Amino acid sequence: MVELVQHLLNGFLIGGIYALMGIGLTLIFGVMNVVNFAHGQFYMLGAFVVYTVFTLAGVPYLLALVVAAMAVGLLGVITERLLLRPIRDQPPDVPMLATIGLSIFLANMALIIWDPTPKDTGLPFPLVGVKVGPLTLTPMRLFVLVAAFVIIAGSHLFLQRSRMGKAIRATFQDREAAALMGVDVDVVNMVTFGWGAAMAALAGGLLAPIFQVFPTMGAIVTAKSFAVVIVGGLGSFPGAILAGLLLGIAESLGAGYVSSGYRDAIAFILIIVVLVVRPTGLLGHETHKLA
Amino acid sequence: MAQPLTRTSRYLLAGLLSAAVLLPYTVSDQFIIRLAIQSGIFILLASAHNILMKVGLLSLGPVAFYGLGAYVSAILTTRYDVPFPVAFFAAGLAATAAGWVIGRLTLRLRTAYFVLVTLGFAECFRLVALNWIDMTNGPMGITAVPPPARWFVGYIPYFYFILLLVVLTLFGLYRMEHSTIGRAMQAIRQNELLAGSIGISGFRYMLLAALLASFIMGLAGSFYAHFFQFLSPEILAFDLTIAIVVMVVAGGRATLMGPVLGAIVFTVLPEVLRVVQVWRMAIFGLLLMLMMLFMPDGIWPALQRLGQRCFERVTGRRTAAVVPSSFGSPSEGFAANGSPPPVPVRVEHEVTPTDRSQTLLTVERLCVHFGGVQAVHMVDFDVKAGEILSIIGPNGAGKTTILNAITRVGPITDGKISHQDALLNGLRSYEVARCGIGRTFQNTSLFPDVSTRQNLVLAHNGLEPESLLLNLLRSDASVQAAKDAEVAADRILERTRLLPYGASLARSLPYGHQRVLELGIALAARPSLLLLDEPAAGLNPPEVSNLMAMIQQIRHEGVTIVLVEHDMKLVMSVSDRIVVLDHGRKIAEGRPEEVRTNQRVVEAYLGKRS
Repeated sequence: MVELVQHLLNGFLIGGIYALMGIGLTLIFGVMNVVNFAHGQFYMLGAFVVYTVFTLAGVPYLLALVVAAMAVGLLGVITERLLLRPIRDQPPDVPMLATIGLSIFLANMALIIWDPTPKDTGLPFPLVGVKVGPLTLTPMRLFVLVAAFVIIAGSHLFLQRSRMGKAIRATFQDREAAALMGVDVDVVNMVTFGWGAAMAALAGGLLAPIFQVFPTMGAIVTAKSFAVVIVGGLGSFPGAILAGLLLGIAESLGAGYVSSGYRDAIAFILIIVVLVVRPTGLLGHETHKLA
Repeated sequence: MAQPLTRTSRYLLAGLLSAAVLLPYTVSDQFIIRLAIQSGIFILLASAHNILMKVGLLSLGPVAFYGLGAYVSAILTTRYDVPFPVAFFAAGLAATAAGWVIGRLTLRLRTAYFVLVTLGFAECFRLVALNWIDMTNGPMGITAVPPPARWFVGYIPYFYFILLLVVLTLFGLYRMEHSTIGRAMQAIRQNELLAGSIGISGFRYMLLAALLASFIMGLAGSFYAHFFQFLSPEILAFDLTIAIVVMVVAGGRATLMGPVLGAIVFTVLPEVLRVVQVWRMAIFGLLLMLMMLFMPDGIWPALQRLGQRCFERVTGRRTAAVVPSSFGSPSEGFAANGSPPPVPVRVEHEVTPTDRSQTLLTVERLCVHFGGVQAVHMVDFDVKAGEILSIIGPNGAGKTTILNAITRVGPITDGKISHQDALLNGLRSYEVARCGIGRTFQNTSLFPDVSTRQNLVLAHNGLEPESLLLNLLRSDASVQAAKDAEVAADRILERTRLLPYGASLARSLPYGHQRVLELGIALAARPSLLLLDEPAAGLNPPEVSNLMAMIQQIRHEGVTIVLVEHDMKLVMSVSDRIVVLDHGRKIAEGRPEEVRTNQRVVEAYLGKRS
């Protein structure tokens, strides 16, 4: 029983991170109609920025997270401006392949800059067990849980309350109508892509102290973000949260009780099953809406 | 489209082929022959993947079929001592079977969904290959895969083997491209909805594309396993998928030569880039981005454009008029002022016309509900052979919804629609089209990126033989079908007065001409019943009169017409009967003069007098 709860808790933790990845990816798809294959590379870069700033330069962890989000967010903005905007009106596979090119480029640049050996960032918090009933939680894991929750809630508020958030939601619903109502769609695209990238970087930065950091870590995360977005319904914000948690828990239980070799298969099996049975995802509609 | 190869390209082709055949004797460097063999494998893979591009599908799962073929062949020969030729075809068939199953499951998905589901299948295959250690040896891989035959020593036999496979595949694809099947695929890629409305089954051709692609990939996989004589789950890696997709897209998707060129360039390029060592893949990624930015449709089309420009400069003349210099009105001299159409009326249809007692189409208690919205509720009407029936009503009355229900493009919640005693409810849109029911769409719907004439050639497709074998063997029937399509296209160009624009891209036509072309597309499929959805929307008065004359002429040829239209002048002058809808319900039906004076109709349009 305790083991089960521990698995669930681990799943929740990973799931929160998947949700962070999924939200960014789903927003980018909904607003820009781009399937971003470089999403996992933003995650990888976030982890490496934290490693460089926190571990190598000795800057406090929280500040390092902020630096990672800003740096990778800026990279996202530049990507939108220089790579995606010029090909916005091309058939959808053109931007998709452009992000695949970006993904290959970023992974291999990371390989050159940080070499392929996996890195340990070290722990920003003391390694003591915090007893919660029969469960043991390290402060680091607790921090990841809380941080993921805060970032998701903050994004939600940003989308609902801020002027920019409203512009994003309007563009999401109908790009042309939004443009006609005076929304600067170019800026919306830039903010959405930059912000999605920053969220991925935060996800990477949060998990960096728990797992190791290496240049090829992005690819599988991209694939899992796809799974989250598909299961939740392309373009659905709450769907991405639900599906992220679901995938995290399913993987954690699958690895604990079935076989760890097929752990990574769960994401792909979920994609296939959902698309074959209910192509709009758990919370998706025919015309995807943003909650 | 079916123009024979020019003399120059024949010589070029013969030259290339003999250069390929002689390669092992002119090059002593074994490394280059090995590279040529690898290029050959990739030409097969890229060309196969490109078949899916021809129907407008981007898959990220080609390695699943390649890998499956390789594993089937390697396991059969190493574990069960099956002779190579059997294993080779078993590999192709196993991949085809997988293509069939996966295709049936996924082909109704589009764009991003299809991309991701195919990626999911490929990754699942990879994880099975990694983890089913009893069968695949897992990450250790299968070693000592035997050569295809004992005399396969050195690279040369492999070279000729792959050359044979490549030549056969490309020849088959060339034949296919210039056949009914190739034209159907072009129509689907350009506009799947419109293709359905002229009798082309999108699903059928997509499945055919998936089967052909997976068969070729399976064979390529088998060749790979027996050439390298070692097989590991690496063959299923996502990187390889990327390589294949890049070859197709960078070369020029949906062209015949693009993937060949792409495969050669992207097999050789990484070898060239070896000099830059660690920067190799980073540069590769950068190149891919630059290519998408500056050559999004690929190297081959860019080369073709360049070649054409050089040709024009040298000879000083334009090769093909892409857009005529000035746009006249298609209505010039044609019935615009009530004069009879100059084109002789020709009865093309074998329908026995004008027996108005015969009922052609019956709509009974039709309901179409979207959630709680009753877009159409309990509507009954029938269409008599040879008449022009108009359906009118304010916006949102459910007119287009009814046309969509009849042509099975949209849903039917309840009720029955039958055509000459056959129930249409269970049919798909292309099957309805094949019953002789044609239609146009409210929003202009054409094959935008081909010429006006080619639009009409494609529209003939539903009348042609679709068997793969007949088309590949270029049987009399398929040759005749191609000729018929050309003749029919010219005739319709003439009838619709679009002859001067035959070579123009359809999307470059002015709006009025596009609407006329739509009508031409519907006619090319030889319907006996034609449903027109607001054909006059956005046309100027002369264009409307022209349209009116055309509609009447079409009816004289024996085609029954259902017209959904807002232009009252048009409706009142051409209709035999009118059905009036309001809020999804039929409120009146009768001859134009009856409807005009009907109190409920007046209220629906003008509001109730208070």
